[in-house]
Amino acid sequence: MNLKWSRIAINSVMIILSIIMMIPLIWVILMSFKSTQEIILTSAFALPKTFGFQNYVEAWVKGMIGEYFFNSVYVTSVTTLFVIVLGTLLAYALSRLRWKSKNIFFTIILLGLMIPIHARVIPVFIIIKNMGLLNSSLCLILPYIASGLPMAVYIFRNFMIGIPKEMEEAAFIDGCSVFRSFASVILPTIRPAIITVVILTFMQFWNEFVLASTVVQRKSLNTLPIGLQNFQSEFSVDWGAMSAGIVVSVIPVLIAYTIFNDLIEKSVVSGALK
Amino acid sequence: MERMLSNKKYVLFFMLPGMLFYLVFYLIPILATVQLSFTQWDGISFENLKNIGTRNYFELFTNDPVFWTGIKNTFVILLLQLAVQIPLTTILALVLDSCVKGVKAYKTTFFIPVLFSATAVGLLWSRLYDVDYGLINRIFSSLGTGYMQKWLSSSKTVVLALTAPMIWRSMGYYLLILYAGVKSIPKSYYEAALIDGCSAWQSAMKITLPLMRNAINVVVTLTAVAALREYPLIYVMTNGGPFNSSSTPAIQMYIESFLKMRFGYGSSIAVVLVIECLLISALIHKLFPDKDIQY
Repeated sequence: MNLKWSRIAINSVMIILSIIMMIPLIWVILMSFKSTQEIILTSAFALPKTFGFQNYVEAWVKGMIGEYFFNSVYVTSVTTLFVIVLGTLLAYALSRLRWKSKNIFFTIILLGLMIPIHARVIPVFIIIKNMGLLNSSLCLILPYIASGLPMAVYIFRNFMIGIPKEMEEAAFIDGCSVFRSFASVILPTIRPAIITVVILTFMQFWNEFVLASTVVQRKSLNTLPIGLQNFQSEFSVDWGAMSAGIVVSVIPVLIAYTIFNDLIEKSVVSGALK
Repeated sequence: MERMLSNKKYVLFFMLPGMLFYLVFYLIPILATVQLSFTQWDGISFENLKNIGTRNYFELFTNDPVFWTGIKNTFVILLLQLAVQIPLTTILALVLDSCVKGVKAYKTTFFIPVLFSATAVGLLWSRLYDVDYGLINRIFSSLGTGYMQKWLSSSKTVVLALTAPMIWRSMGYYLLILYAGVKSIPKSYYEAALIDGCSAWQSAMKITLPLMRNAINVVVTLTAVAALREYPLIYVMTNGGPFNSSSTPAIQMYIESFLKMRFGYGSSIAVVLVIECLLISALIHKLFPDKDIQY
């Protein structure tokens, strides 16, 4: 009996906590369908009178949220692709090739995991400016690739070290070159690591703010986090449009999460416990 | 095989492209920040760059109240976050492991805010805190209390008000890590404890918590470093205001360099921030060393 009551108590506490976690979301979703007048005059959790998409149109057209969205997709995808390619190459040299100073190089790359991005923003901005890249989306992609490498190399190297020597030996005896063995023995074996790094890199740069807020100078190059920040001033009184912007910016990630939630959760945990 | 794998040409081919990126956008910038921190510079032309030795650091430590407010704020945020987050997420992880249905639903509920960008969280919570139409003051007034608070525009409440969304946003992430920590403990331990007559409480305290130690260490370190680095959320919600009362070194670095065009001074703040992060991680590691746990 006692056990049953404590079980009910714990379950109700959990449900209440979950509701508290969700309240801000429910509120913002409701607001995204309301007119400014409704937001001010009706109670916070009243359902909107009509489910109109006026605010979404506003956020899309006037707020340019669609443009920011595609910039984000472009920048994040290109970055992730290069991080995977360069990261696996580096990790191969640092784990399977035999040369003298490879541990020194690995330590240097690992240092990158511990140093916050703030330590690089100012010079990166100056380098990008002097390369004449401030007007191109390369201004984000190039530094992002470098930022993504340390974690990628770390995870890839851990996986590659674990591959038994004999697997590659067999490939060499069959007449494979090093490149061939890299592409057809090593890469397929570390597939789970590649998936993990894709997810982590994508999440990291989809939401990246510090570099983007300093380096991006042209409005048309803004990624979502920076573009959405403009809503602060543009729609300071139009809460409906702002709410719609917030909802739109989150929906793609939510969809990705509902499809891949197990993978994402596993990657996040293994990234943290690395 | 030996010969193939130790061929210098291959080393060059595999290392060069990645190292080039790392060198230009990682190593050189870090060294440049250190060097800039000893200069006075407007960031426009290199002719205006002047070496001034340790004057930036001198000013920072002895003559800059904003910097010290910032340091104080980051530690208040850090301690608040640790005090709320660590016990709460640990208990949640234990509860999820033991006696509730719908673990997946709960994990999802707590994880959804993690997917938000800091900007979205910042905009959302700024609305929540709005004096007239914000949800929080509305709830207070609908309860019939006359209680109203200028959450973000009063220097008394602003730091506290900034910490809440940080906790809201990261709880699901830490819960996931701790839950993985609980899950990795073999069930046979609990069976043995049950046979010996342990209560659920005893086995949680004597078995689970000690074995979760490494996972908790990870969460403590991540929380601390995140608190020190936090920038976007504060930037969006207050930008250090009102009157610098919610400033942090990360915010101040941005303002000094990109708004006041004092790149040398900004760089010295960046250097201090990095050292602070490294020291805190080292301190946590020293206070709570990882134990090699083998099942």
